[in-house]
Amino acid sequence: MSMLKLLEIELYKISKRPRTYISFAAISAIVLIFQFAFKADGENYMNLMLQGINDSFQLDKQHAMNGYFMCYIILNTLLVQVPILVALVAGDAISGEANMGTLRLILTKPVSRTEILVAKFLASIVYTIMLLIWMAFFSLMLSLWIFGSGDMLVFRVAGEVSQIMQIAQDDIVWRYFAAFGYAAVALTVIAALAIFLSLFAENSIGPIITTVCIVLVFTIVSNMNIPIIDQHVKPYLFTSYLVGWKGFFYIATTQDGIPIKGSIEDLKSIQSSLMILIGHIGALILLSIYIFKRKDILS
Amino acid sequence: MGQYIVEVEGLSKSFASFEAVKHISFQIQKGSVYGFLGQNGAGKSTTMRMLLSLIQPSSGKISIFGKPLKGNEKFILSNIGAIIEKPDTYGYLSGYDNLKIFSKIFARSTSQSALDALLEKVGLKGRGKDKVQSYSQGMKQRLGIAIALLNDPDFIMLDEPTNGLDPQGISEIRNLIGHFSKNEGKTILVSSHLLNEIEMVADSMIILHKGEKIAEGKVKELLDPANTLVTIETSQLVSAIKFIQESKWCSKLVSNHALKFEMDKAAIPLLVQFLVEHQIPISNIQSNHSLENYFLKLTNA
Repeated sequence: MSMLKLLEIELYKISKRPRTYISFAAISAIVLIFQFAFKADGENYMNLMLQGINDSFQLDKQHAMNGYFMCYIILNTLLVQVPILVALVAGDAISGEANMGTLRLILTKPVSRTEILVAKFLASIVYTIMLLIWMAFFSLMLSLWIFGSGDMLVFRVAGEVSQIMQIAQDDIVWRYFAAFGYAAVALTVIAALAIFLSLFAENSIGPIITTVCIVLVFTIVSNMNIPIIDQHVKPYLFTSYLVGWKGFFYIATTQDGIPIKGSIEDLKSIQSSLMILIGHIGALILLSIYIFKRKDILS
Repeated sequence: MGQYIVEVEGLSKSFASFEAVKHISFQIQKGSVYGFLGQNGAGKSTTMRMLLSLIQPSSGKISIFGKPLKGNEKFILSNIGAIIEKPDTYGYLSGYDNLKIFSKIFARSTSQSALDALLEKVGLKGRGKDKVQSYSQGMKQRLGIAIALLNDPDFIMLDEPTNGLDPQGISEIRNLIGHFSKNEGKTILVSSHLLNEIEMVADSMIILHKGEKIAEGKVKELLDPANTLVTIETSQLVSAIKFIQESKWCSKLVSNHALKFEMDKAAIPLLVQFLVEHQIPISNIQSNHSLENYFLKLTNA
């Protein structure tokens, strides 16, 4: 039994479940609402964002609110919610089968438990990537079509300092590819966590809610600006690295403050964040395999 | 492999401090229908799950097709078809789709005609395209059997296959078991909490109670008609017992307070004739196997 066949079976099962499409529908709805709201009242939003710097910085607001900018705003919002949508499918991987009683049926077939778990994990990755492609299409392609293109503004708050960066139009697309790639890895951590938790339950509600709770609590802690937490807690929370994709939009500048085309301000930080996330994925999957291989199937 | 498909020795399973299966041993002969009998919680399903590697034994040895189960799971499972407890399948998929998924696991042909033939074999002809969630319990059971047969297994395990079925469904499952055994030479392990179910389909059986083996052997020997328990109801019990105690039937009487005999089933008409000749009115006669009586005692305990 090849892994490809098992993956094909898992993807077929995912494609036939109605809950799979809830995520796609949710993303479409949220993005469309955003786009409608910005089309109708985007200028007020820009005024709000530029409140403190309006006097010192002349900006063509209409031109600044283009498709690239819209996509960045949407991603900032959506990438907090998407983990929930990933958990919806990945949290069901083992526990859903246990609940339906099909887990014992699969395991009475000549397939190893490791193969089954890896196939389910790979299927979750494919689902996550499909979700991101869908998100990219709606938030980037559709926004470009509605709002047009142009240089992109990035608002950044680092501690007490607010900053606006401008990225040239021909320096943006590769950054989005890189950001979506990073997001795929980040969301795969959520999928691995949900699969791990689904080993311990016989219905999918438990692992889905637990995954969401862990992500929410860790995200809140990751966003706290308290020195002791910054130093001793945040480095150990995977959620601290989930938003690392933003790093691709933090462009390096010359000493005179002129953006350097094709540059990234802190590539090393992105690389180390990626390694930490990949480490989480590896650890969670290896632990899941270890537990699943020894688990008595009583469902 | 020899004459046995399954050889189990000293098999035990504990969940924390609860001993679900206690040191049981048995062998299943090739081509036979072997019955697992026991009330709910007797350890039947746990034992079957251990035979399928779903549960790891606490101790003991399992060999199937002449090979130890541990380390040979893939080979062994590729020659087994099983339904454990309920025949659960993917309700949101059609019968065909369920069969296709599992046939891919076995890398078997998924041609429409092959699946049609299988569905016809289990009595689901014409329902393959319907979603499983619209199936009756009996149809789900038959689909489960079709999935179990996808790999043309040498050994079939059916855990309580008649549970939740109507009389017609029960009869159909019984016929299927008979067909697989007699016409296709398959070895079958079937469990039930009903003695008559096992009696009707199995050649040999093991009785489990609270995780322990309490009886094992050929069904015909265990349910020997020479050991039939006969209960006769009469309005003249005292006179009847007096006549019986003075006759050759005395040795068969198992109680002095009721007309209960352990005797050959064939001799019941002679006993009735004897009572009628002594003008003892008979209002009811009941006969059951002593094993059934024993089993019922355990069940009621």
